[in-house]
Parts: sequence; C-alpha cells; structure tokens
Amino acid sequence: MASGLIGRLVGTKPSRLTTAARLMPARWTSTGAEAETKASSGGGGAGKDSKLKTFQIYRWNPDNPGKPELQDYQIDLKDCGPMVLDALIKIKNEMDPSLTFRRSCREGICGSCAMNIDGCNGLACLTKIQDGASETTITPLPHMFVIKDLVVDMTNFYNQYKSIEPWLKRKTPPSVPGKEILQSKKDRAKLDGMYECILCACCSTSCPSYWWNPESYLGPAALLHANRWISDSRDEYTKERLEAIDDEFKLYRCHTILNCARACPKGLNPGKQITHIKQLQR
Amino acid sequence: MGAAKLSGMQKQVLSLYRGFLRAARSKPTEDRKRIESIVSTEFRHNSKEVDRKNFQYIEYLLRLGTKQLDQLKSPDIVSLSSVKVVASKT
Repeated sequence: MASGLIGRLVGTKPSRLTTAARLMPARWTSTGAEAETKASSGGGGAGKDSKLKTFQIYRWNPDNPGKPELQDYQIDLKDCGPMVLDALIKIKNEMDPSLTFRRSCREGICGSCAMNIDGCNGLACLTKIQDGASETTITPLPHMFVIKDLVVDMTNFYNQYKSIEPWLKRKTPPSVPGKEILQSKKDRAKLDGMYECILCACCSTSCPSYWWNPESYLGPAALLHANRWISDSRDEYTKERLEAIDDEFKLYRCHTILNCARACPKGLNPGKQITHIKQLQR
Repeated sequence: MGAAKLSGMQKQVLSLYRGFLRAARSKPTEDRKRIESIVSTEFRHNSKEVDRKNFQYIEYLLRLGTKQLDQLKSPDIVSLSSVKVVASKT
C-alpha cells in the first residue's frame, strides 16, 4: 500500500526528538507516517516496527440480542490506510467478518459511512485515524434506532427529506418550450452551500433539538434542502414551500445550537440556511 | 391472556398483530391462510423466546414488523413466505 511505503521511507530518520514537543495533532492534520515503535503490551508485528491502535466499536446483534457492547480491536497502523474506514474494512477482512457498517464510495461523496467517531459525527472515509496511543471509539449516529452494529435506521430521515418536496415545481411552462429553464449565474450562486449536501445525516443527528423531537422537527438537513428549493429562482412555489414548513415544530424547534455546522463533513452550514428561512418567514 | 393491565408495549405488539391479520384479509384466500400462519408462528415463537424486559430487542422487532406490514398492505404484494435458515459452523 502506498501509504505504508511512504511511511517506511520517512521513518529512516529518527523523529523521536520531536515527540515530546509535538502537540496532540488535530484530527484533520494527523499524518500517521512516523516510525515510532510503541511499547504495546500485546507485542508488535513480526519483528518490525508496528504501531498498534485500539478501536472500540459499538456492537449489537439483533440475532443474538443482549445489551450493546463496545468491542476492542487492535490494528497495526503501518499496515492500514489513513482513514477510519480503512481500519474498519481491515477489521472486517482480517479479524471479525461479522462487523457490520455501511460504505460505498470511500471518497466522501455518497454519505453512507456516516458514524460517530470519538464523539463527533463524520464520514468514516474522510476522518483520519488519530495518531497516538489513545483509543478511538466508534459508535453509530446518535439517537438513531440501530439495526445492527453501526447501521442505523434512516427511514425517518429520508421521509422528512421527501416531505419538503425536493423537486422543481412550476406553475407556468418554460419560456422556450422543450428547452431548459434559464438561470443567471448570480441566481445559481445562491444555491452554493446547499446543493453539495449528500444527505449523510451527520448534521441532523448532531442536533440536540432533533434528538428530542425526531418525528416532528425536520432537522438541519431537510431544512437545508427546503432552503435550496426556496432560493431556487426557477421554482415558482416559494410561497407554498414557506407556508408548508411555517410550523411550531417543523422549523421553529431550531434554537441555533449550530452543532450542525460543526458536524457537516462537507463544510456546509445548515444553521445559516435555517436562519435564512426564518428571515423569509417574517 | 387475561393479564391485569396491558403495558404500552404489549398493546403495540397486539395492534401490530391485528394489523397483520387485517392486511391478510385483503389478500386471496389461500395466501391469506399462509400469511396468518406465518405471522402467528412468528409472534408466538417470539413471545416465548424473547425476555419481557428486553425492551431494545422488542422495539427492534416492532419496527421491523411495522415496515413489513407497510409493505404487505400495498396491493402489489400478494403473499408472505418464510425460509428457515440454520446457522452452520464451517
């Protein structure tokens, strides 16, 4: 694997001098390419430097139902790609095939691998494994019903997205029949920051307001998409869309906690879009 | 049967069972019998095997059952069938 090779090349220089002085790297900038030998109780790999990291992963099996538990797995980071998803796949391949999780694109565009890593919601394929001796805890998205291990029930989330009618609705036919409905660059720029949403549910499941009212409050993701269609200059049902969500529970459960903006793996700000909707409602 | 007062969860289970029987009524006769027999074996088996206090598992089964019932209610669906899987140690 390319990362393993690079690690080996860099590691020929002794980098232990900097270990003490180095601050605990932030998740987004951890490199994972040093050649430290860790004194681990279980011993390293066969005679070579190995960097073991423990992953505590939430397990619950509906076929043998008991209490959900955190199971420990040790992974040699030298032999593994840099992202949490690489570690999960390695565990599933080599150590425990019964570990269940969703994944698809491995590049942060599909939104399947959304889970809670060390307390923060994010995509497993975009979250680097944090370097260091500390254990990484991986649990499913919070306050969602668990189907198995890290797989959660997203039907409520998808139904809420469906309920805002996320498609173009027009009353008049297009100005040139059979051709596209034209939109200026400025109007298209209004949609930036909303169209990139991949419906991973990281934002909605990080919102405490959504935890307490998942059925009645639409959640940041659905409201972000509602704003996307409200702001679309080609859509002619703006008034009806605003009225549909002008509800004590659907929109106004948002108390600008702004956990959503922190959690979004694509860097979007659903809180800002919700504020925009609230301003339009006045 | 004949318990003092049914808890909320017990009522949910019973209403799910009733829902299945009602959905079965709208299907052709032979399939109706098959649906009723599969559903009643499943419910009776779970009522014996599952611990009354294991709320998480019961809620999981209720959600699963509600989804299956929604699918069954659709007019395109004709019948249920079930397959017994025996876990083998390889």
